Amino acid sequence: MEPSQFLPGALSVSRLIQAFNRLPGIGPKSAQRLTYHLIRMDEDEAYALSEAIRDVKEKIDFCKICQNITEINPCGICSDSSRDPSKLCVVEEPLDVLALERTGAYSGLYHVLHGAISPMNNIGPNDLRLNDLLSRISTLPPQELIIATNPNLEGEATAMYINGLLEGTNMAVTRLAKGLPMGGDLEYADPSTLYQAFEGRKAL
Amino acid sequence: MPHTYSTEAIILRHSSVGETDRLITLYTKDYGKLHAFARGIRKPNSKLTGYLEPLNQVNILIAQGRNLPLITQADMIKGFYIPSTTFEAIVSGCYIADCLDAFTLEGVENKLLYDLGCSELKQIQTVKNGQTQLRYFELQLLMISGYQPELEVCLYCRKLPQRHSLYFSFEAGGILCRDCKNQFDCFIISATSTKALRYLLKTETQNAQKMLMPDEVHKELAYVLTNYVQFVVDRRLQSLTFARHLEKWESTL
Repeated sequence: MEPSQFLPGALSVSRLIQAFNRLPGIGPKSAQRLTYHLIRMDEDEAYALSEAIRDVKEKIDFCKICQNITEINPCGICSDSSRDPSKLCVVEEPLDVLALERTGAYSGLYHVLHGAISPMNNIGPNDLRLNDLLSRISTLPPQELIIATNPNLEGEATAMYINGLLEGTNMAVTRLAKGLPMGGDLEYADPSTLYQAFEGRKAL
Repeated sequence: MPHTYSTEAIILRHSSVGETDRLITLYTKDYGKLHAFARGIRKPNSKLTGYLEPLNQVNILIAQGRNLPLITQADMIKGFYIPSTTFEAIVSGCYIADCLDAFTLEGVENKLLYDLGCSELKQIQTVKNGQTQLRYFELQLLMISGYQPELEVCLYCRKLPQRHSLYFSFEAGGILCRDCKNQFDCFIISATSTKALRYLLKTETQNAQKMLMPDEVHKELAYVLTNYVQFVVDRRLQSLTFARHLEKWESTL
């Protein structure tokens, strides 16, 4: 549908509705609501938003070492000398780095794959930043490679594949532990999670 | 269909919707293929987390939603992922799920196909030779779906072909003799491969593993069956393209 067909005489409004509609999870009604919210918004706030969008597109790049999104290259984590270079944690997405950083439990470096191997969607190792990981490991091998991909079929396939590629190296390849979530209910846990929680039990 | 119903199902695939939901494609024992919503499943504390992963066989309770059915409860019958599962088994399992998805229509139940899917997903986790198991699965899938290839007589003249002049045609759906090879698009197929196909078509799943075949027969069977499957569904299967791309990528390492 042409933008002018939405709202005759207000082409910019129709264009914005269409732009919102293209975002994931935003349907036509939500797109309209967001647009009218922006129209009613303070001018400064609206310009700040448009500037933030422009900045993201202009300034954001991929870190040449860890492939995380960054404004400076190498990124803050890779250029931080206090981080432990003997540990390298492999994650699927940049947001996973944020989640792990929030725990404060890890002080090593990261590598972001930007996805996971998915045979059913034809996403293979060539679609991920796996070549960058392999060349990074070959030049500066860490003592431990921690695979922190998601605990689902794609994440497990990715972890297994990376482990297979690194077979025969001296590096310790580890996987994040799996088990029961805080606030969870034992009776609803699936057998695979329960099995792994049992296997990974610890002395109190 | 009742407002709520329970059934056994194989999880074929899923896609993320919104913040925490997923749209699940299932192949159920009693209602055929279904698309259903799993609300909040991506939250770590969801009751459904872990159960609705692809390739799992589960017991589910479905409520008829306004648009799409909702999965309200799930219980595991046989989880695909166990600590000993290999990468090759996951790739093969995804191919089985991809084939089931491609060969089935929504709401059309077929208990034979469901049982085949369950038994082959179980087999593929344990067998040493996953490729032979996949060939067995493809032939059984074709047979149950009504596309069993003709492997005994020439499809055109209905005569027994000579052992060393066999041709296979996707279009005709089986073998042709030398005299009839020009009637359809076809390619030459070895007598050993034809014999292996006949055996796999008639044998039980546990016997497929006992077959010893030279590498060239393995390759020929894989070529014939994967391409025939794709010819029947009239599209490229993503999991097959994945396997080919993976092979190519690994050769560059």
